[in-house]
Amino acid sequence: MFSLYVEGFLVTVGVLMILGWSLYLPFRGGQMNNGPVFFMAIAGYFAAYATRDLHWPIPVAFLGAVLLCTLLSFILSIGLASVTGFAMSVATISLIFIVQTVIRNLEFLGGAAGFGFFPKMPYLLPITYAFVFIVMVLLHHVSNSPLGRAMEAMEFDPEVSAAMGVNIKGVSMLLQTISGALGGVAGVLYAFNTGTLFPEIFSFNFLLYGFTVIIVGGRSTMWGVPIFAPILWGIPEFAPAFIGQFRNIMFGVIIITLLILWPQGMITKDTLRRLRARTFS
Amino acid sequence: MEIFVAQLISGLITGSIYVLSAIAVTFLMLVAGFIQFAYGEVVVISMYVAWFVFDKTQDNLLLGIPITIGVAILLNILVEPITRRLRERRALYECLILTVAFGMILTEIMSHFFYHGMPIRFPSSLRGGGGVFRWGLIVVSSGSLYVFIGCILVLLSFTYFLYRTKQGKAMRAIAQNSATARLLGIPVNRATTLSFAITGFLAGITAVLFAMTLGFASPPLGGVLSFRALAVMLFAGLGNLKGAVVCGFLLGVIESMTTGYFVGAWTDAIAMGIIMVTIMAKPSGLFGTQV
Repeated sequence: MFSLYVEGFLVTVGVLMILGWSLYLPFRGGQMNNGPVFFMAIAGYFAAYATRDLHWPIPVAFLGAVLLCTLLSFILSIGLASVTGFAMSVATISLIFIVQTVIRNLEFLGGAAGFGFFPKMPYLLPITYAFVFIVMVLLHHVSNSPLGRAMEAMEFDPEVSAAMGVNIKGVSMLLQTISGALGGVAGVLYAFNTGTLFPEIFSFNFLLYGFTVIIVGGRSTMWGVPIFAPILWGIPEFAPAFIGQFRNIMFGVIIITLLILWPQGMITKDTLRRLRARTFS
Repeated sequence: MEIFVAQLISGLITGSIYVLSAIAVTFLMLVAGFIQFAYGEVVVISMYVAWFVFDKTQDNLLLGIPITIGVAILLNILVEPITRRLRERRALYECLILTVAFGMILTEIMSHFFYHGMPIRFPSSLRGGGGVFRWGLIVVSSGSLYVFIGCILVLLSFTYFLYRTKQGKAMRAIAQNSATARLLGIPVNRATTLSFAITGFLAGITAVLFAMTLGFASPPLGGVLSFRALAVMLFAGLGNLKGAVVCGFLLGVIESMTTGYFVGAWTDAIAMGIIMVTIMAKPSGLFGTQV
């Protein structure tokens, strides 16, 4: 239906949406967890290896990768539950360095030379957006549930919310586990979209892109992510080449500008309230 | 035994760079109240500017070194107004994301506009002229020795500044309680800007020492150094200056021991793993938080 290039672009936008949401979830609960990029690497390489060298069918590899990430993120969250603030963000960034080193040194994962020639996923585009839809519904449900209110309370003041009965550790662990699972989904989809994996792909760049989408879209609502992911990714992609190569500079400048001028992002709770009032008045 | 001593010396020299970086970032955090994630990138882009100056002036050290330090100070002072609104609101995560973005912009500038992003080498005159000291298997280049001595000198001067000068006392007061410091008549805003300048100065010195130790630089080095500085800070305990000194050397020694006794390619993973496990087991760091 679309050309290969446009299809690749649309899948990447879908992956960016899922990555953005996976970073958004702990951020909404007042924690900066950079684990999703780590889980993208694990899931991507797992699915690629399982389909190419173990000859697993693609759905089984997909499920295995996501389950592995869910389990790993749960185990990690046990250790990270009592770690807050900068310590959590630094600890999770160190995971990114660790996974890059490990992959680079494992021959069966291709090392620095890359891992390629794994089977292509049929219907990648509709599957990607099916997942985007599922995640959207899930997050919308969470936002309007007691869990969502607990997250808001935790972000506002962790000590007061603990005093009011919110199980900070439990909510934190749950958010991290879901975030890890979403990172896994994003990783598998990204791997099948790219076709060849290198350890350097799963680095600070993804963090930059994911956080730009959250900061621009609005850190207190989930709707900024699907609206601004295509815009932010589309600009450098469809701009002339001499602008497009400065993608990272562009994203960096956008983050800095927005954090100075509109730290709440483009779509805030107020925006949604006004939209709702206008729709129902 | 000789391997142990050789690796220990090498670790202490690398560690001295980490110590300077961790001290600078900790100091800035204590006085200005936010974490400068782009410290390593400021250091490395200063190294690139130094290389550019050396390239154009036939290795003029007298010109290159002050320019390096000047660029680092300017870049760091630039961060002050950018983050002022966020710091006033104590929006710590936003500050972190902003400085990460700033760091990535610097890395991209290095990748695109300096030598096509390829690694750069520094002249041997900067590295001590190539002289070496040998005791059996232990080889120490004179450049490395200058680095270690340089680092110790900077640390001692910084300690003197912090504990024996009026400005240092003012900064310590602001670090303890900025509201009370303001009430006591300390010009907090001016002192905060000065603290950015001092951190920039330390970054410039680190750039010079780093160029002397490593002899080369590449754009990703900035992110690596930034992260090491932060990791040492958390390893030691947020805000703990003395702990940062010990842990900086400790990290350097851990890395060199891993390189010496295990396969070198795993150094990063093992060192980062140790730090991560320590942070998870004791979130307040080895020596305790002091903020």
